[in-house]
Amino acid sequence: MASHEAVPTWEQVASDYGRVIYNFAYRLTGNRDDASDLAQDVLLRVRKGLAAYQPGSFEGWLWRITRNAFLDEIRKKKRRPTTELPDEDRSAIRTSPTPEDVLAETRLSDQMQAALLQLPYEFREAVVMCDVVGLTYQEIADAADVPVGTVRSRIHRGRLMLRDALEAR
Amino acid sequence: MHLGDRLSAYIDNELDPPARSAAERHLSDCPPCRDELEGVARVRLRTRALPLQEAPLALFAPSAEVVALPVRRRVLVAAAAVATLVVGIGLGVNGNEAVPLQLNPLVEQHVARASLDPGFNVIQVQAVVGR
Repeated sequence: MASHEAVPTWEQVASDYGRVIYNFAYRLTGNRDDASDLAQDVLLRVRKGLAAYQPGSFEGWLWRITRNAFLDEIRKKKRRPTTELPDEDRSAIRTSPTPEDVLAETRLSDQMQAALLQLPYEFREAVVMCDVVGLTYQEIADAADVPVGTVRSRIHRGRLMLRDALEAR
Repeated sequence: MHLGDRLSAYIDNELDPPARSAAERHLSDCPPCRDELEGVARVRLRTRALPLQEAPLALFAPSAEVVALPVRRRVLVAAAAVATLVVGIGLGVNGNEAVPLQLNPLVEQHVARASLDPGFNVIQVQAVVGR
């Protein structure tokens, strides 16, 4: 999805990235309303910022905007976005699941989401950018403005914290 | 010395070939690192298996004013954009005189229902608009 030549239009960004930005926001906040507000804020910032965007690492640019929008939101609300219980996950496209399958899968997703929300922000962000958004370590480093080694450490420590949280249940 | 965060880099394919070979050599005779690798690999898979959430339709509405509107209104504005699109397609196919004016009320009915009935799934509409 990376574009290194042309500047995309807002419509392209919204269509190519809207859903993944929303999913990033949803996994960071654990609730739909905050995720929706955040994704809208990001797309508004993209609209304003595209005119000044210089072709380069589009992923780094976009995710830096996303991250800044999220951090601004935290500052504005002056609260940690870690206290709310996650919404119940709706399952992805599937073929005739049994009710037991649905329950089991929802329970696993809820446990994972709850564990994610317990992580300190830097670790949660790194893990979500890597495993939900699918960014490379370099792209995460560009977005968070830290060295790649820091990203590697945050992802690994984040995963170890998740492992411990899930095994403690 | 154990591999530490190189284990995550290893499963994310973020090690260069020499570092990858060195990690594999280390893993072949270090049970604690193998255990840790197994733990982070399991967590990584579970995070990646989290179901993708459908984004709200309003996110894709091209008008900047839309973001300031309350949710139900936003859905209506977005649906109006869909209605315009549908009418536009009708024009392209049928020529100038065959504008299917009855589509607009239909879409409005659909959205009015979607905005009032929590059991009615707006996301079905998004699948058409977002792609």
